[in-house]
Amino acid sequence: MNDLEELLRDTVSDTRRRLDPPPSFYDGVRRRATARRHRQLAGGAAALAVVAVAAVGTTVAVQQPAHHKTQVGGPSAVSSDPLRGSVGASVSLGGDKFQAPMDVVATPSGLYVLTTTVTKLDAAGTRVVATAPGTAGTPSGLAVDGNRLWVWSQDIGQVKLYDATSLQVLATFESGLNFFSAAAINGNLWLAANEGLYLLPSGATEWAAAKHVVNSPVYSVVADPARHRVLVGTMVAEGGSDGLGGTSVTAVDTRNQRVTTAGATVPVGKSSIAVVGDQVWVGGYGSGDSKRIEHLDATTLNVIGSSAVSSQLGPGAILWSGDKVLWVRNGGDEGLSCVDPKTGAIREYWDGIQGPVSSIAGHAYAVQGDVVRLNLNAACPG
Amino acid sequence: MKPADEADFRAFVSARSPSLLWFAHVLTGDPHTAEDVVQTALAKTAVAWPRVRRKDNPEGYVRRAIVTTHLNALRRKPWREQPQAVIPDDAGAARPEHELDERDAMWTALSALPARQRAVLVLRYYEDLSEADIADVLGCSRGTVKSQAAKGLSRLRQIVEKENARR
Repeated sequence: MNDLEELLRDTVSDTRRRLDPPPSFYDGVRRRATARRHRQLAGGAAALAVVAVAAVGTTVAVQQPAHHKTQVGGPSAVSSDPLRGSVGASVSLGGDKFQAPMDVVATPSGLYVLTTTVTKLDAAGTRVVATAPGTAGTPSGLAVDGNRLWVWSQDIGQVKLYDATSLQVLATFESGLNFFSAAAINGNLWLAANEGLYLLPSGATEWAAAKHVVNSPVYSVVADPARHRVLVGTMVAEGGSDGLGGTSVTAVDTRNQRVTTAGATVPVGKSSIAVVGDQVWVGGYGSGDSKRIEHLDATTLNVIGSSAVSSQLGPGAILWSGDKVLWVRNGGDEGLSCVDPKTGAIREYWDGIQGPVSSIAGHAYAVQGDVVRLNLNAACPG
Repeated sequence: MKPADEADFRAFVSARSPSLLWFAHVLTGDPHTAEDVVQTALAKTAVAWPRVRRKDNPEGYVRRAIVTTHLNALRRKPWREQPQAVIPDDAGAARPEHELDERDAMWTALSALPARQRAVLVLRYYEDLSEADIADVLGCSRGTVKSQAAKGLSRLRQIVEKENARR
């Protein structure tokens, strides 16, 4: 073992970094374990219910004339929970499992996947049609608007603009900031950072052209094109969960870059916002019994409800806007739910799906090493 | 969980959580992320505790759960858990100054590595796992473990030398 390896061994064994569990540590473990059991039981109970229905159906069938027997029961009904989703074909992106999927965006012209590289698949998500290197540092997310595609790095603040068809790099921006999220609308890119909200206008060739729109720390940003605005998750120190603070969802008019509405604080940190049609949702990480996901009034941005999925989440929730549904991932474990954006009802769920999700025109894709197509039921239009 | 299992699990958590948190801190580079990851890994373990407690090494089971939980979380939203190398001001007051500087530089360097390279090195130099065992934990080939370890060590050397020159 050389000196470097000895120093490494000493460092990772350095007792100065010992951590003592806080007083509520075991309670946190129990709460997460309970949520996990509930999810398992929910799946098992639903499956049992289907088995019971199938059994009753079979009994009825036995008592009915023989020509009715083929209409009830059947192996497929017995073996499946109606809400439990399955997956279809997958497409390999190449590389190994160290290439973590960072983001995926489905558009009418193709499916874009970000790992350390940008990959474009055809609109059906069945074959790779173009690839290009991602940003320097850790490529963290991508945004697509028309024929413009941006990739950004959280750690060093580099942004690259690509031609969305050829994946040719059109411009590279060095901001030096730490970005958490980004959204593209009207050819412009909006970026959420600890230093605030930034607008990188179309036509910009260097970071100096970026506008600093909001000064307070911003964790999430999502486009709301129907209302000519972006919705921003502003980090709030007070009124939030332990250590993570809270979030106030704020609307910024994309035409004049002015804040038009600021909602009440919701008790989640590390927020993600989803806009599906005229429905607005915010989710994030929280503590105790606080909701991890909240339904907001689209005008006031104040809380008007939550979702049935809330009780099944662990420490947090991560949200994505679907084409017609809300996608909710358990923030501390596997588990993805397709949620009705108006009622918050769970329409379909997958236990073992990891990685980001995107959907369009009745098709949904998750990326977890490979691109996986999710089989959607009739209640989850994607 | 039966009361006896519950009591046994609580005792396990009470006894081993400092060690597990330490391991997770080294793995993630951030105390808050470490707590989050360990709680999730222990929650997974709680569900399977009657089976896990019969194993020769339940703590090893939890450590593997910590690694997979951390890496899975990164796969979902990698930028949501940003490692921060924070060293307490009063840490290790009784140690020689040069030794602290070297370890602090190494800690900073370790925190700057990509998560999967750091996981390989932590499993190798903290857990003393073989390449084959690391490959098993991370779900990759031995060759990938070997190359990631080599890249990680090379990167560490560069950062430590740069950091030492700066101090």
